[in-house]
Amino acid sequence: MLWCFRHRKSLSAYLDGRLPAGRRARLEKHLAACEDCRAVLEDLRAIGRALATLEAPPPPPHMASRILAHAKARQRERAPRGSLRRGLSLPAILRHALAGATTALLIGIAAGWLVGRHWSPEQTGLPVFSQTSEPDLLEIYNLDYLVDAPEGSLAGCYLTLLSEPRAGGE
Amino acid sequence: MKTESDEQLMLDAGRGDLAAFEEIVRRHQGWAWNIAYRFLGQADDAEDAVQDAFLRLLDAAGRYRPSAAFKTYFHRIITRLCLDRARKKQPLYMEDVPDTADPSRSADERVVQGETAAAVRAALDALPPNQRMAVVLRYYEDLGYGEIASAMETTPKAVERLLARGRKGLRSILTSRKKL
Repeated sequence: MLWCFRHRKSLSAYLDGRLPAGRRARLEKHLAACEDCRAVLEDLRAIGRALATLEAPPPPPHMASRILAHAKARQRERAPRGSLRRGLSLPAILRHALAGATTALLIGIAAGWLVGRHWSPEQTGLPVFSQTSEPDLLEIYNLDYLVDAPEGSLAGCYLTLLSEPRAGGE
Repeated sequence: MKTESDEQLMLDAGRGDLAAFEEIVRRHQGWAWNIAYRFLGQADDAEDAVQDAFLRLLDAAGRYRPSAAFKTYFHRIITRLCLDRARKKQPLYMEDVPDTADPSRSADERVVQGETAAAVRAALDALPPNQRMAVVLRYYEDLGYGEIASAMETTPKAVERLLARGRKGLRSILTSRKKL
């Protein structure tokens, strides 16, 4: 009876082919000699046949479509927040802003080019600084009282210095 | 898409591809339903469990890494959800197993089979959830001990014990109902 108790604990694993070779051999030797344990083993095999009578109906035809409907709803719920409207993300907003600024800059450059090309300074009223005429030193420095300074005198040297072009092109 | 592997479809679904997710549902709803229905015993509960399982799968798709076969991964999800549902339900003690109708010796085989199925259903429902799930995965999904252990997040040795106790419980109920 003790052996029956020990061997019956192995019957389930024996049924699934999970016993090591040595244990399986000892169990089969016992089963050959024990009618009660053979009856228990047969009951365990009958459980498999009984379980097979429990059939499952096919999946409900609407089950897949319901699952997909829920999946789509979840995807919509998880669309990125913080946008002006659904579908616009923050990086997209920044891209639009940068494009607008670039466009405004290009328009400003084009407008400036057009103004410079088509309107004269007199029409615009803006001051003109000519780089071609020599400055009149006597007018600038009001040095008309030095016109008669003799050559070699200090005044004459001073006037000479003023009238010579400066180094560096100034 | 029909030729892509389950693992690739999961990765695509993780990137927001709903068509890939739809293909996953189409391929795997059958066996997921079978497990849920045989374990829970009621169509409404089974449908809810399967729906939850697929949505849980979609939620996890962004983090999915194909370190294991997809079916192993999904087995674990559906198993866990079914067990959670069963544990929340009122347990049916073995003393409360309803009597089946007396089988008439003149009843035809379909009636007898129907009564046997009803008895089997009652016997399964009387098992503790872990034993019942081990029996369902072994007999109806033909999973090996390692696969059952992976799905139930336990060890093969624990699965061996669960099956042994589950079979003992089923034998006790079914022999008392003369269904074995």
